[in-house]
Amino acid sequence: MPTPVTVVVNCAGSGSRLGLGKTKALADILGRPLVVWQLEMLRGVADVRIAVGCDAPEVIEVAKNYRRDVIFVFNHDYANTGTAASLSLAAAHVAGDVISLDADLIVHPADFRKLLETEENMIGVTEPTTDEPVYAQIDEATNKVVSFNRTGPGKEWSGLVRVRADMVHAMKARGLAERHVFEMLTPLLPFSTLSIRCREIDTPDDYFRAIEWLETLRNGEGEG
Amino acid sequence: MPSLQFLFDLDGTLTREELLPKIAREVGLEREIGELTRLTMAGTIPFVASFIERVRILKQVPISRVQEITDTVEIDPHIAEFIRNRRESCAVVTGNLDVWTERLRNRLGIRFFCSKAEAVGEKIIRIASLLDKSHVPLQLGTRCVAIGDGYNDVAMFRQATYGVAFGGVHPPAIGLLDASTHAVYDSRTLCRLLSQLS
Repeated sequence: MPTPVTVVVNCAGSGSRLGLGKTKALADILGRPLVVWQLEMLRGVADVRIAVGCDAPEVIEVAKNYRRDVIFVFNHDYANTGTAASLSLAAAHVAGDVISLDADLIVHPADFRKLLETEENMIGVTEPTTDEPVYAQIDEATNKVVSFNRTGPGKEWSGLVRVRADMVHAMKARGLAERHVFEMLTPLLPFSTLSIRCREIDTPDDYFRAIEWLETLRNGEGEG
Repeated sequence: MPSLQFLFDLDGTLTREELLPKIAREVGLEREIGELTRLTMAGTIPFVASFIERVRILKQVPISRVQEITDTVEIDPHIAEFIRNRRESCAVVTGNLDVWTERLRNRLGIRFFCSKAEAVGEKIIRIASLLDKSHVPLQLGTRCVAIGDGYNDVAMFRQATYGVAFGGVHPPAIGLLDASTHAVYDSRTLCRLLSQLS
């Protein structure tokens, strides 16, 4: 029997760098809020949780109108904590595996399916594209992520990971699930590697690039 | 007593309709109660003052008639099943009166924490005590999951280990979301979450 999977969409942050005046999950992408794009990709997933903080009532309203059976988990301290805090709150009491997906990461659905189908701890990596990348160091012999750093070279940590829920619980108990997810994962490495096609939306430039990419995908003109 | 207690609000959480407006509708006092309900929801009248006033209006209805009406109130079937499977761990926490909710208590077969009325025969004389919902988690002295939808659940949520805002009947009060650890919008999802917490 496959391991049950819970997907956590981290929507708690304010997204101030994008400058839309609202959290990134509500950013309009080709006529739909970003969080709806995420929920559409997660249509076959039974247990979906959305971590909310900034603009929580608005995010909830949009998400529940698209999908009624989402469990919303509040990170009220979103201004002082990172995505690891949201993930660990949402993953509490969950059995099996958890996939952590940041609201601002648009993933190619075919690559996301691979993460759903695996039974391993697995990290999504991509070619470096953002201005301040966190690099995943990959051991060539095993093709596993062995560490993270900010100097490179290497593949970029995408923010997407599949991890056993009990490992997240243990990190929370040790006080190591407060800041970034990659920092929480560091003591748990090595993890398998999955190359993914994705676009992260941090800045206005990213926003327009992501829209362009989605239009290309929608028109079947390429894969990113 | 089990180590984790589930504390359910009654109106609009366990029941699929609000009790007092339903009673009012059945006895032709809909207009008076409806206006009070509207002002309470809008935050113009505090919940306690509104409740006292609504009791003043509805106490003219014989208690047995109110109980007949509450017999027809629909209880959410998924939550009812969740409760049936763990009665010792579940309780209802409602500001409503004991004499009005007695039959619902018998239907569910679980403990009720509620306000109390002084009654003589079929008639309510006065409200003997108003329930402060925040006292229940403190009184139980154990880990609690509070489930509710209104402003009057905020204090209970603050004292509970988990506060689950439930929007299955109508959207939970925005102020309640600030005190919540979770929010869910259908009763199957609520029960899935509660089962995981237990």
